[in-house]
Amino acid sequence: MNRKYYFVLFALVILLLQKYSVEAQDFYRFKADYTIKLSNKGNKPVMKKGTVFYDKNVKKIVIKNGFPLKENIIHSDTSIYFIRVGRVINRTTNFLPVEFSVFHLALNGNLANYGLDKAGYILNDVSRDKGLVIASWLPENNFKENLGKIIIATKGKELYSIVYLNKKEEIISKHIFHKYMYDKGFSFPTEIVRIYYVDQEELYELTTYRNIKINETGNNEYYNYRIPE
Amino acid sequence: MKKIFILVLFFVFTNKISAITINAELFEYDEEKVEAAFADLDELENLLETNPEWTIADVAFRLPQYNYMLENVNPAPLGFTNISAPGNIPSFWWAFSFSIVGSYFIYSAVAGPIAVTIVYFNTDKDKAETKKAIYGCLTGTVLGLGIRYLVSNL
Repeated sequence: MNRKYYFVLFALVILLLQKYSVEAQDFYRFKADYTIKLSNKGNKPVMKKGTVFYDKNVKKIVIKNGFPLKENIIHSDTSIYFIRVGRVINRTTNFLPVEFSVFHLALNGNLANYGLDKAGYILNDVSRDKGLVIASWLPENNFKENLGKIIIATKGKELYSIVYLNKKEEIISKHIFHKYMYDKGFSFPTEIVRIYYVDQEELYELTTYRNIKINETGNNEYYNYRIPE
Repeated sequence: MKKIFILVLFFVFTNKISAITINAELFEYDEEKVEAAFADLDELENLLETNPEWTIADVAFRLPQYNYMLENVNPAPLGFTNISAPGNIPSFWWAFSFSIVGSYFIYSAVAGPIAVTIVYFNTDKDKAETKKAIYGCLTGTVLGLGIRYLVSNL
């Protein structure tokens, strides 16, 4: 009798542990308040604030912008929609698939190599320096005409920086990922600095994320945003 | 000749290598420079911390030095789209049209306020657009009454 009791208890514990471990790894929704500051060439800096929603199963980045203008910006697979007071006021082509956004990569645990292995890049070289693991990625033959090398630095398995080069091996932009947050196995950089080199000048973009929520059950109208007709 | 060839090869080779050196320094950047680039936004950021619902229209009256953002920050590539009253008619002219006709034919004087109310709800209670509609309504009413006065007294 005792043996049977212990067996049932053991089986229950195993089941609970399995359930918990599955839940802990299944990250599917991301929400955060963002602030983006942009330096303009020869102009004053500008700022945007709002909230971003992303569900990796729906594959729509929903940006609820609050400042300077209230509008929703939806990144879908092929288009970016600009929506104000319930109406689409503009639609442009989306050249960056949502699968390569920081949100999708982070939810799938692929942020460390920035999904390059699935984006037509081949790992060319790996080295170590001052605590960084530095990986050089080369575009596959089909893309060599247009794309340059990408160099990724990781620090303790986390993405630290990306450097984009042009075909002449000149730096065209540098992205640095800072201040990671951790929640039940999920990690995300709360500060991203992007430096663009344009005509021998540096342009900056600083994005900060706050109030990050994972697997939120509310706000379904945003995660499953319906583009008005 | 052989020496020159080797020298040329050396330069070509070293030039290719020195185009970029892949080490930890490659990922360094000047944090102070980035902070300095955005120092002008500090006052705006502090204001929005306490008033997270504000748009540039609300900020314009308090901190007019940031009004340039109305022109510079425009995610819509086709230019700033002034969504307002039904049919994309600017709020001012929407309320103006209704109120000028409404006040001329006194019995429909409520047309102006109704037009303002429509703008208020149609723009998702946008303060700036509603204000434009109110100005349109007032201008239209004054003009409508003026025309009515002139017509009846001439």
